[in-house]
Amino acid sequence: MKLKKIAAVAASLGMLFSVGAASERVFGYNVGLTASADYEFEFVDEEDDSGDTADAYEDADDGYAETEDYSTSSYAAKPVKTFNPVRSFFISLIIGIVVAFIVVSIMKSSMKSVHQKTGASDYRKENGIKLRVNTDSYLGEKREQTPIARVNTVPMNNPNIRK
Amino acid sequence: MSDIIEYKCPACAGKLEFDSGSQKMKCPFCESVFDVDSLKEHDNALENSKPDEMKWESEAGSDWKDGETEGMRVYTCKSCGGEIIIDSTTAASKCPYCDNPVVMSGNFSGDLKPDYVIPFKYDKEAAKKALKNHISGRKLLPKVFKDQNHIDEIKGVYVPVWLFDAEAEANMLYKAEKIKRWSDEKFSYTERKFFSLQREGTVDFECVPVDGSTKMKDELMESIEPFNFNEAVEFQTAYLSGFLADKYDVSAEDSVERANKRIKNTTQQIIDSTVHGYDVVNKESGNIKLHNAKAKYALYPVWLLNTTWNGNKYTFAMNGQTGKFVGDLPVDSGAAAKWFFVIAAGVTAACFGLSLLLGL
Repeated sequence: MKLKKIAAVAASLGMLFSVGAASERVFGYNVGLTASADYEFEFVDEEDDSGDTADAYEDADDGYAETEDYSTSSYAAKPVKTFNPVRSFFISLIIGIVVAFIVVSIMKSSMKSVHQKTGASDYRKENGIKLRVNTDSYLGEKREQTPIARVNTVPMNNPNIRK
Repeated sequence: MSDIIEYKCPACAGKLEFDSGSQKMKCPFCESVFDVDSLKEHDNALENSKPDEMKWESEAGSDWKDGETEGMRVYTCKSCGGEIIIDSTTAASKCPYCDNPVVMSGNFSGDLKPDYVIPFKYDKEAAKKALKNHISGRKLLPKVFKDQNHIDEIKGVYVPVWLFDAEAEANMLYKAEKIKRWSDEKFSYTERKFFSLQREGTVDFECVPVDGSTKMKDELMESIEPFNFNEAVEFQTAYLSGFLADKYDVSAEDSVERANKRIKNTTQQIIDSTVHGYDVVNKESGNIKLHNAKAKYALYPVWLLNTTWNGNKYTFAMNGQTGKFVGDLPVDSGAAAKWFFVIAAGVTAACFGLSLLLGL
């Protein structure tokens, strides 16, 4: 009975920890500005008149915007987890039903204690086992080898590959 | 009329009963205790017992039909004169009128005399306590089973059993494999080594019990095993006083098949356990022979409780020597459903809370 209780508790804990792995995560992307190339900017020349400064800054802003667009198209994205409560609830419900079924089945089986004996091990004489012949004879061996299928990792039409 | 043996107290002439606590004959009236051996002279009556004399009496206006009275015996209680009608296999009982313990010596004479008896070590109070422990903490048990009224219906019975001694000789042949797997850059390899295993040996068994009464279910009797034969004593009728007892109605020849099956299964398991260190083992051939098979006749102590619930009969049994208690309990479907929903709801809430926590 104690072993059955331990098995039921272990099954419940196993199911609980599996919830974390089963939770759905939706990934989204936010724009993240990393390093910006400065070749798009127009540098403000010190000898320029102040009247040109505004234009220079305007151009710089455009350049900044272009830089921002460039960054958006880059691979600099960070995943963000989102939670789906409906799916998580259904998974929890299935786990709850399975655990309840296991526990109630164990409780029901413990109500039956009348069983027919299959053997007579309780009535074996002490030191009553005598093994006269105990031989293991080697007959032969068989070896099989299977080739491992190789998987090509480089695409055939990659322009970077020199033929 | 068969002889009825009653053991009277020398001090107060009350009826002596065997006391499992002191393992002696005890008077329930004056509390006097007597050694069983001192009452051996009563057993001399068994050697001089006369053949049964069947005397049938019928009520006015009714006759027994042919075959209806087979298996029935009538005894007269020496204390109150009441007539006790019991079946032919009952050898010890109590008078239903004065509750006086009686032993029918005719059922234990000649070839029917048991070789050994294991006296009761647990009394009725211990059996009641064991039943309480058995049903306590059972969440799926119907409440009616916990009713105190059922506890008094407990009977101490000496069950007739056949005890088999045997030497089992086994001869087994196995085919086994050792499998090794590895791989390199180009190939994966599997190497199988084949072996032939031979095992020959003997396993000795003693006192393997088989129930010799059709009134006692074999499954119930086997469930309360094992019995320790080291505590068995030579049979004396004094041990039966105060308890019920039956003589066998299943012969040794009919019981030996069950003993053979149990001995064979255990022998096979023991020989199989000597094979280890292989990945695959298949039994090719084998046989088990029994030598020096002997049978003994003994009486084993069992406390029995019968009860009925919802139209079904439930029987519980306790080993009168070791105290092991068994019995199938009824399951309350409503309680099972309630526990199912409570556990499901609790685990669901816990899992959902955990997923919320992990989701943050």
